Amino acid sequence: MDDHDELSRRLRTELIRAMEPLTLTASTREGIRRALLETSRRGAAPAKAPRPSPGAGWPAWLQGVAGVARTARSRRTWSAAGAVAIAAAALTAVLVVPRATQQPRATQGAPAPPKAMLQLPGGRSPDRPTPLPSRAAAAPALPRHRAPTTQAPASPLPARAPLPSAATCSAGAATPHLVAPTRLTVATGRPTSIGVEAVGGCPGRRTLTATALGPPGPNAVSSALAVTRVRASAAMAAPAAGSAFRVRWIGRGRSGGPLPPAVYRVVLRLSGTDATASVRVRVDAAP
Amino acid sequence: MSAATGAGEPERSPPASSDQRRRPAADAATVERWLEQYGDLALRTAYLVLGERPAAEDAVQEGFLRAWQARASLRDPGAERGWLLAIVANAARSQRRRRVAAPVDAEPVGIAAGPPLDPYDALDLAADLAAALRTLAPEHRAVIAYRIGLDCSVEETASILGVEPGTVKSRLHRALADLRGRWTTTTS
Repeated sequence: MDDHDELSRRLRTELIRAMEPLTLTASTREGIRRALLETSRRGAAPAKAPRPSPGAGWPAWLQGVAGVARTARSRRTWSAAGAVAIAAAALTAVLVVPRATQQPRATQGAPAPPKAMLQLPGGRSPDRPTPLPSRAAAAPALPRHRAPTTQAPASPLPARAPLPSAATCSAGAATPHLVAPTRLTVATGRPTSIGVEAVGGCPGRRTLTATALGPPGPNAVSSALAVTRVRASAAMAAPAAGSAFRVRWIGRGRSGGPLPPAVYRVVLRLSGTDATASVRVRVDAAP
Repeated sequence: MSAATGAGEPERSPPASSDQRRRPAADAATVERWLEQYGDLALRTAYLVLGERPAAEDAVQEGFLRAWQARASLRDPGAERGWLLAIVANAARSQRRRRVAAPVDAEPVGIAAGPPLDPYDALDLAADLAAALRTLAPEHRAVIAYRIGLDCSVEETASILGVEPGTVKSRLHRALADLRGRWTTTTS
């Protein structure tokens, strides 16, 4: 027992001494302080919309019956009244629910949602898929004397230059990977330059996308402070040569001001490939 | 007692002018208190999971943020310390899992990727004790570190490690018994 106590005492002394230098740095404290207060200032995350009750839209007496049935079911009191109520509720569900869950028609008094904002190029609406034309209707009306060409009919969508696909990339050479610094420390409001090299084969023009996230958090703060998206592109030449990118990164807060001091994460992605890298950027207060 | 919970409930009500004026000050005071009372302890808690200081600082920041957003859920103000440390430890474990899954090839600087580090390697422990600790199972070392090194209660250690208090007691008993045997062997 003495050994035991002696060991515990020694362990305590040693562990406390060894962990004593582990203290939060001033910049980390400041980052935490700002992140927490910023969260408070913006207020709590918006409350989720209450779940509609199962009988929403039903007549009051049916809601009452359904409530009795639910109570009876939860308490497992299968009394006669409960059984009758459950039967009534089941009948109600069969008869009323399909009608109750129908969306109100936009033409019945209520103003129509702003569908114009959702229209796709060509006047299509996302909730009304374009009917597939018949083969005959899709074929352009060509004069008989002209030989039909293989040219596709003009698409209502704007043409986009296709990027080389990952399959193209891996067919000729190994999938590239990104080499980037793992951590950087910058002063807030100052531009940051991150040198990134894409190593490995993948000829073609690639776009490097850098997305800053942070401070790390489960939801509100991360998304609210997702600040900057920078794109840089460079042509990747020979498969083995790799290609260097340089991402100039100036973090901006949601309001457009400088980023609050904190630790951010910049995620780098190379288009058309699976190559990603992550850089931890500590933003300190301006000197 | 806890400003977080004590002031939290009335603040959820629709904005009242006096509450609005008081709230930033109360929040700032709570943040300062958390940083003062739990900041270093949280860093050591996260360090014991991750074995690396910068990563532990990230985990503390993430854990504090999670705790701040969930502070209304804290029922017992007396359990605030264990509750907060458990959240930080969870954040550290999440980060540890991400690190294990992260690719290791993009590493020009050689920090913060690859398999997690052993926290006890970097600690400046006496050689005999470090050697004896290294022979223990990780869960036994963790119990020793939190219970003895950080002076956490059984309940706090249990919530940090995500186990039952009885498990903490039995693990600590076994760990100390193992360690006593190895330590006396090393020192003799």
